[in-house]
Amino acid sequence: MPTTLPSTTDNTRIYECMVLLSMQLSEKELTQSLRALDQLFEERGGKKLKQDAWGRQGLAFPIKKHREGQYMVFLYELPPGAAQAIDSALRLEKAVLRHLLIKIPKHYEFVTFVDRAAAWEKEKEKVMQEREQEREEALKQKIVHQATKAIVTKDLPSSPLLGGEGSIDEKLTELISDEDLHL
Amino acid sequence: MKSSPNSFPMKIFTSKSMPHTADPSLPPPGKRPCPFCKQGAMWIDHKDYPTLKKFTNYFSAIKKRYYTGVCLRHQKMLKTAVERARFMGIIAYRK
Repeated sequence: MPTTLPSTTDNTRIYECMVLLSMQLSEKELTQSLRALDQLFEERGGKKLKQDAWGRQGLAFPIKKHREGQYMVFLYELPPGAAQAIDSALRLEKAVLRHLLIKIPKHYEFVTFVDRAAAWEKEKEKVMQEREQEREEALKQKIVHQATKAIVTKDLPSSPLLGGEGSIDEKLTELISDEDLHL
Repeated sequence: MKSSPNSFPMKIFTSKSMPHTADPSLPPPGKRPCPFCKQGAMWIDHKDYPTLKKFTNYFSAIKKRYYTGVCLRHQKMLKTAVERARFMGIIAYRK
């Protein structure tokens, strides 16, 4: 569930830091690099509020020859002057492929990756159910139309044009041979 | 619409009655309501891939707001979100 954040003091701001880490790191290296990141923020007066790990994710395009990576999202309360220093320090981190440090907008809600994925799945299911219902209704209408069509064709009176009583040629010869007809 | 009993009811489209999209329930382009305003969205998250995907086309370019119905305020937010998502490798720059 999304959670609203507590209001900050005048001297601090809340920043969102998104970091893309390499997948080639071992567990030990990963914990070390995460500790280094924490230290980097704490040295500059940062206070961690939230953390979310996305896990193994495929990238839309290769970044530094990596086709996979793991995203980490942090929420930090920082003094405003520290953001620039942290941004430049993150560039020097070897394990970090890309990073994004932004000031959070108004009405920001922190949603974890798991929650968002669950909501997406639910939405997908809902759309699929709606489509199925529409398909069933269309099929029902088609069956009803075919049934009515069959009834109408049965009730139609037999006409010579449809080959009901004799062929058209016979009827024509009858009409032409009529003595009362003056052509 | 008239249809003879023996034939399947075929729709005859004139230039005026021609459907604008495959989905006839949608209003015509240029007159569509903003989906973000409907939700009351105050900001658009660059991490929200399912939402961003809806507003990008096959080549991962942002769709025109004439077709999506997004208002100017939200289109600007969407642009920022898509640019951030592209930078982080969530969305491609170009397929």
